[in-house]
Amino acid sequence: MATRRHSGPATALARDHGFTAVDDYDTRTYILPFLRDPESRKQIIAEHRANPRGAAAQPGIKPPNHSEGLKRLIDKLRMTPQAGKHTIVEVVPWQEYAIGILPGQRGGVIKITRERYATREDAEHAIFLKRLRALLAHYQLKL
Amino acid sequence: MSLAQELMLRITGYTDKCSVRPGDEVSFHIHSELNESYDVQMVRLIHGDTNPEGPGFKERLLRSPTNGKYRGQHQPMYAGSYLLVPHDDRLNLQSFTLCAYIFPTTPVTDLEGTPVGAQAIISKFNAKTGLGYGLFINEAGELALRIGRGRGKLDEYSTKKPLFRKVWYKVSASFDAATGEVHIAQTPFVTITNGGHGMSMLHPMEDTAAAVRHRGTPGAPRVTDSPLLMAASTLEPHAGRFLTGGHFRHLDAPVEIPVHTHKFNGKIERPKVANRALSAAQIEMLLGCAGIDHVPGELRAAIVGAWDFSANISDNAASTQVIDTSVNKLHAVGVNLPVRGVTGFNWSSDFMSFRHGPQEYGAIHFHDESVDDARWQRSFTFKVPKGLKSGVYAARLRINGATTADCEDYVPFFVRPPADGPTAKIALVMAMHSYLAYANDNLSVNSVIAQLLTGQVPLLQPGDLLLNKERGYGLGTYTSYRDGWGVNISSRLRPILNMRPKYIHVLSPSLWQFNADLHLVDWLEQMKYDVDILTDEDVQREGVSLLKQYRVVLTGHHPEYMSEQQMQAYHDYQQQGGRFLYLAANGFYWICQPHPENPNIVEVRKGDNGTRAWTVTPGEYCNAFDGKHGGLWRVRGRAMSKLLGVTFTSFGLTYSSYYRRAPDSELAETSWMFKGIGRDEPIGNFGLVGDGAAGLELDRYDLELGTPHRAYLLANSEGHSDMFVTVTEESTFNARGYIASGTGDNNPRTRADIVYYKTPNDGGTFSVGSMAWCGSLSHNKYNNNVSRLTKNVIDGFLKAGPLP
Repeated sequence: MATRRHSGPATALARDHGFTAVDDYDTRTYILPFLRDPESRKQIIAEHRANPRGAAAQPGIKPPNHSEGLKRLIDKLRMTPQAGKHTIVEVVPWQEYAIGILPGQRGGVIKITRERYATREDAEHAIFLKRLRALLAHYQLKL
Repeated sequence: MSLAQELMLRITGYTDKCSVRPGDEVSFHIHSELNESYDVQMVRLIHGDTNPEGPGFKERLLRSPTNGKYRGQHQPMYAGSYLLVPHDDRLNLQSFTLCAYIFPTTPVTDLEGTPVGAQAIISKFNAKTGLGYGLFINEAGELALRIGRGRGKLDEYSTKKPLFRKVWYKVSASFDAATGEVHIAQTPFVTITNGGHGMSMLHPMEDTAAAVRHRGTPGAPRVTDSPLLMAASTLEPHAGRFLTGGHFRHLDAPVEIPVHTHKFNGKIERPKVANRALSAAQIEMLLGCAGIDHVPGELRAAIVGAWDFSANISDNAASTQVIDTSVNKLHAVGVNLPVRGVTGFNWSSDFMSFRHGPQEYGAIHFHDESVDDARWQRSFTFKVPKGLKSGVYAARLRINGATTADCEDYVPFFVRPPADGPTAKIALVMAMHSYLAYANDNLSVNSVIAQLLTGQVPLLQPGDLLLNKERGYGLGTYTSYRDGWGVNISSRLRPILNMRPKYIHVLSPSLWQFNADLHLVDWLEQMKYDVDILTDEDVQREGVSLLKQYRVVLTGHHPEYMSEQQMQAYHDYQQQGGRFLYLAANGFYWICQPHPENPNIVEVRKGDNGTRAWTVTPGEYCNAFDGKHGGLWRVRGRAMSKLLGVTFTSFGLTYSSYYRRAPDSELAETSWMFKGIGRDEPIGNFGLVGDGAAGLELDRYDLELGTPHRAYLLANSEGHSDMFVTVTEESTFNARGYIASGTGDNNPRTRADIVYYKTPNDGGTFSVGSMAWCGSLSHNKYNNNVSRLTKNVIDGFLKAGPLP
């Protein structure tokens, strides 16, 4: 039984060019300036390192909301498509965590990498750095 | 046999019953991935949070003859909804015609790009042997007739044109066994209203319309004993699996179901089968009517099956029986709850309810991931001993006694007091309907916005890895099926892997739902309160006459999903002097109805309003299970604040904050609650859920939305982060700086309010407006102001006589 393959119209609209074009514009305009400046980049990384998953508000202290640079960057990093996205896998509860790679398809195998971290926060920050490197590489910048 | 997925949980199961009394028997249905043996230990669960900063995991072992070692059995889940007509020789055809309307939703791939393979629309076909006949969508997304005569030869006759997603088609195939001639056609039937959110202008039609004549091989399809299926074909006709009882109680005798394959995603309407090759005009006429009333006399006998999916829609569309209007009356039965009460090819948008216009709701929507009942074999039973204390229990399973997380599972159930009456003055109602609604989401692995919502990368535990491998075991209402439609049902008759102690939840910095409710169970035990454990199912069935037996009724931390019967019971309880503590947020929010014939299965339709995981297709707002408008209780005029004093205002699935006392906490009517708590003491700046007592989801008072006019504001939270956003039903306009669209740092309505009000007959209701409250109860060895406040209220509510 021969199987034909039918493809849809090859238009820019069909491949969602509108979204990709404006996403690129927003990244260049609002996010890359924070990353090009070395001081700013260092501050963002240190800020994430201090509270990789956020922190509670305490009386008398300003709540730890993200700075504008970290907020814009991390919201973008968190919205990458599922295929190839990093996840955290519990190896030993409260003691050992691995980084996994999501398959992007339900039922697909989650690849467990060799990296191990003692806390969920350590794994979270490591993932942040990986994603940041990938974003910078996409725009031909280096960490 | 090795595992493709490392670190995956290898054992799980479910119970036949939810809530049982001493003397009842519970059966456990267990799956062991690699057929490994396992140890069973019956336990009472007390505290499920393993965080070393808290009291740690607590369980009490039970002595029981059920304890011991059992042989493990791999039990597959056969997901996917379809209709079945038991094998009948009248359906073993020689010449024939198959026709229907279809609305495919995954013609080639699903929304993630995964090819779905060939899909059967109507088949009497054994896919293993390749014998029989069927109308399919082939791997290229084309309508195709397949005829299997044996000797390894399967003929396919295709239209050679692709079917489009979210488009209604008339489809037909006729076959003349004497000449081998095949006519196969797919004709788009696109109206301005019937595409849901899909196209109403399909041009050029030639991209997808086709009518093809094939000179095929003469000779009848091989006779099979396969059933006739719609939305599937048969892989294994006799697998020892049967439908009986529950939502199949209309069946006179158990009906055998096959192992099925070629699962179809999409809608089917007016499927008809004839025992000769009809002309195009005759097919057109057949499809022009729901039944066969208009078919001329000489043709009636040729129609061997004509299923009208609107025929038994009445007050509800809950029946699993589907009526055959042909002379043969070969009624079909729906397996895995295909969705009824859905718009058909002729939906005009004049009707928003299938009760008012059933003739426009003659379709059924099939999903290849649906599960109504795992139908696993029973592995062992537990007889609840007389005198067993009411509580939250489980069978702890350990593969070969191993204690690692990939070898251990807990299968929970609830023990209520004996039939002769309560054994406590306090009842805690475990939110089973909410546990069902949240069951088995795939957000950690498949949701792009999960990380934005929660401010973290999700953590996968071994149970999540098993759930992903099994494609959700039927999923739950917080996700969509692979064709993009929301999951509208959830069954308790299958493993619910996020309803477990030790489970860390994607929607929280720590816990959520069942495991989080154990924070409260533990605290009540520590404070030495006698408490009866009830469930939503008990309140559903028995109403206020059950609640009234208790001086005080408590909720867990998130009783979000309520049936009409439950809403009525709580209303009556408050009116009749009941003392009610709502230790939660975002409760009593969604309409959730059990199947009228099976309390283990619930339905939710997430409509155009509400902070929600998906939106129902236009016209499909009404629950199949009871015919009433689904969605938020607010949309039915029954905003949650009418029963709780507070309404859902914000969510931030990340770290929490604390409360400040408000002036109403110093009145004669209320100051007794704050005994031992300083006027300026922050309340709850600690806890196991995001390090604060005000968090996850927040409720505030609102006099415009039903907060009682004499309600008191005892405290309000402050300092929520910019991750706390406004609920969508409150943001009717979005604008920068517009309060109603703001976040924790600029919308003063982003807060949790602690509200108290008196009700008739010396009743009272106390609401904390936060899902993180119960996680703070154990802080500092249970010596803290969240514990103190809760205890003062319960102790005051327990006292006889009027409230101060």
